[in-house]
Amino acid sequence: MAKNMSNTRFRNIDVDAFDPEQFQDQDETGGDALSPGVGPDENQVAQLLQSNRHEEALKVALQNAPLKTKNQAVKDRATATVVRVLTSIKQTDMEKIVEKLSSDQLDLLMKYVYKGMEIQADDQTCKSLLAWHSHIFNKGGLGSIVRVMTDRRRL
Amino acid sequence: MSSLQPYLDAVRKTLQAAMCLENFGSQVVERHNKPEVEVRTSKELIMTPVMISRNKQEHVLIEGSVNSVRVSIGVKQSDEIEKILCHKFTRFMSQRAENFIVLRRKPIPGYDISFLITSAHAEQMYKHKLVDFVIHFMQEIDKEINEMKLALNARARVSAEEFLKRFN
Amino acid sequence: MVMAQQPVQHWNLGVGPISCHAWNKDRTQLAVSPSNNEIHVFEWSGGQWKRKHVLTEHDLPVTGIDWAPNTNRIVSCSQDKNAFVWTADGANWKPELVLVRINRGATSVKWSPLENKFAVGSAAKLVSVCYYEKENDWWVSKQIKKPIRSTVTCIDWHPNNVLLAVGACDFKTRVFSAYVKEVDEKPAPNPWGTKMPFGAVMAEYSNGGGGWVHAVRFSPSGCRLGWVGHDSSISVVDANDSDKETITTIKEWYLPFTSLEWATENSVVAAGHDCCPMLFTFEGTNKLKFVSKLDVPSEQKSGNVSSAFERFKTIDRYAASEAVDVNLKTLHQNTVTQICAHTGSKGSVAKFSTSGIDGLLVLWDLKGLEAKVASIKWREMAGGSGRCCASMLVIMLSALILLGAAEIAIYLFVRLILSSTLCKTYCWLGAGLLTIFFSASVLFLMVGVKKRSGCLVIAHFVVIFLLQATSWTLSEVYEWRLWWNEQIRDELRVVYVQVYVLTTAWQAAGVTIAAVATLMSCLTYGC
Repeated sequence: MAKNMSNTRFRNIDVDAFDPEQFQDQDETGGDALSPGVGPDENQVAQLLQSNRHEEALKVALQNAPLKTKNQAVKDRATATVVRVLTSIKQTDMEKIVEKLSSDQLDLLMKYVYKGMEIQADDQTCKSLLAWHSHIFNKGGLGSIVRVMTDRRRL
Repeated sequence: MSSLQPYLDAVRKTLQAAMCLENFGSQVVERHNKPEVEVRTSKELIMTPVMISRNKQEHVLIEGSVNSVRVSIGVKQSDEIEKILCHKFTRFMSQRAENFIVLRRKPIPGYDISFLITSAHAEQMYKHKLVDFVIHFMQEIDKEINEMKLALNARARVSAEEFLKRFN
Repeated sequence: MVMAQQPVQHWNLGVGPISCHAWNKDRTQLAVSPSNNEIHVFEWSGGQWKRKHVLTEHDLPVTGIDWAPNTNRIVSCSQDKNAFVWTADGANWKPELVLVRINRGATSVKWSPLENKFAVGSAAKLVSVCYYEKENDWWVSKQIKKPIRSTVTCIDWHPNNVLLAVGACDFKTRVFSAYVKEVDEKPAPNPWGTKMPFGAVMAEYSNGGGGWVHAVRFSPSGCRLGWVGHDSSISVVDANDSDKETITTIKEWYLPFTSLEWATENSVVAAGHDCCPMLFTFEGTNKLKFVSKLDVPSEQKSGNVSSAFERFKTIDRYAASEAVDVNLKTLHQNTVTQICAHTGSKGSVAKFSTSGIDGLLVLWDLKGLEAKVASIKWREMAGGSGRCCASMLVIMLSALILLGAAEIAIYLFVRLILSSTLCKTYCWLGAGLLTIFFSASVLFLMVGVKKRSGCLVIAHFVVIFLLQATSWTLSEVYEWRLWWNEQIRDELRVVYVQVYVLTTAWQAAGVTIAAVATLMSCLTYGC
């Protein structure tokens, strides 16, 4: 009779997680240690919003996206900043601003739109975000939506 | 509602993007072919889930993977009666999921009803018609619940009248 | 730019969704798998595809078929972890045993260019390279495992029979060496590397987007590698480039592609979930460009003639409150699963075939879409660079302008030295006409270049051609009449003859160059 029959904690180990052949998402440069909370500069964004320079506020908000960190709070804060900028821009200006964005910025903005609808789901925000969605779709197409879903660097 | 059309458009486009499925044999169990979005054993085969919301209650969660897509819908329920009606209605349909083919027997926690569309469905049916079906479903469910609520209120009023006539 | 509406050859084979297909050498037979465990071999007879054999050795869906053109063998693989090599034995196909030694389903299979081995990609995260062992009359395999981390989805052989490109669900494309010393000779060094032991990773690429690699292909020369991923992108790497790490990617507007094929060394055709093949050109690192869709949505499908009737019919039949559109505008109604080259040499594909989940097999005629392809053809001729073609045209243009100016000058000069009234008339007429043509052509050219209109540039060249032709005709007529009228004094005859020969030569050259330039510009800028 083997000893230690009462200790059955080994049954809860996920053996597959230790499988060396399993696919692991590449952790870029150590994560939190080296890049402690990257995100758009909120003060600069707030300043630009107050002085009514919405387009530049959006450009600043799209820089330094926290895609590589694992810190969810940082990502949520970044999303909140971007959503604030997006909701402050009027519907008539959306198309012009979208025209000037590069393809990478479009993909990033689409990610923020989806994340924004997930975190902040109140009526006004969603109306604005849905309008942004349709403008970004007109420029970036189905490909931009597919890239939000396939990109491993999630918000 | 002013935001209904943009909401349905966004859901339609996201569904079109998510429904790019292919037949994919399991890499975990030999000779098996399972919907990867349900088994969730291999992280690289599952895509980022996206949510589209219209307000706090009405939202759609779309989870994609290489051979299957799971669409979970949250329906508007503004008062107690609508909550009960929605619950009963979706339960009625979920129990008859075989006839719907793409319906899932149990909704994902947090949502009212879920669809599971696999690559086999995409082969037998047109993709654009599947998307049309889901959008149509979302439109109809609101209408149905409203109609049921009206019918319920009318019936309640009639029966209350009959009952109170006694005390006249 | 609208293409000519030519009917595209397509057949519904009546077997249901087609997951993969392969042609035999002379394209009279077609092997197809209808998304199940069978392989149907069709033969072209009497203007249609007739089913000749059904091969049923597999018991789970067949995932890949390849037909070796020279040795006439079919290899097939399936999710049941097996692969079979079928040899034609009179009226039937006989399967041979293959020891693939994989413990998960197979996903793709391909014969090597010399057809002495084939590679099988599998969900067991490895590639099995199989070759024939005579002693035991079976096919044995060697496996390439590291560092593949997920299901292998697609494979392609390099023309040197040794290198193998592998795309997998771990979002990476790799080039391995599949050198089997039992059947291969030592490969010559090539742009991908010099030392190639079995299983060595020659290159590993990831375009950063995170999509599963759906199809990977070497270019006809083997120096370039193209792949399509689920992040709606198409990427190409050029090994001849000094910096082999630069991947040129386009992130597309459309849904992801599932398959691609090189039409020439510089152009790629890709098709996928959008149900429409699309043409791309690649001229070097960072020069990957989308050219056009190859499936023009036929206007007839919308049926505007009886649209009101159609609408009510669909409302009645489908009980919908608005018109229901069941058909997609493209020829394929569901995802395209595979593209195969059909006719043409390896470096220049004339036709290619696509199979789709809608059960259609479509034959696309690339040569027939001349207008789109011309720009690629001329770049091939001019050494693979569009700039070369444009510079040729510029040189011709300058030559023609010089010639035109010279002719006007000659007319005026002749008028000065021979001062009879007849020649005066001719000279003024000639000079006048030439000047008009000349200015018209310059005007066309400038407006055409400014508005980027191909038609105006062509018109400009046509006018120059007319200019040269008129000038030649006038001078011939003039000289003929002069000769006959003996108006030229004897002393001047010698000079005159010399001038005559010179001008005739110039004018002949001018007319020829103008004709060639017109043809070239028609082909390059043809609307």
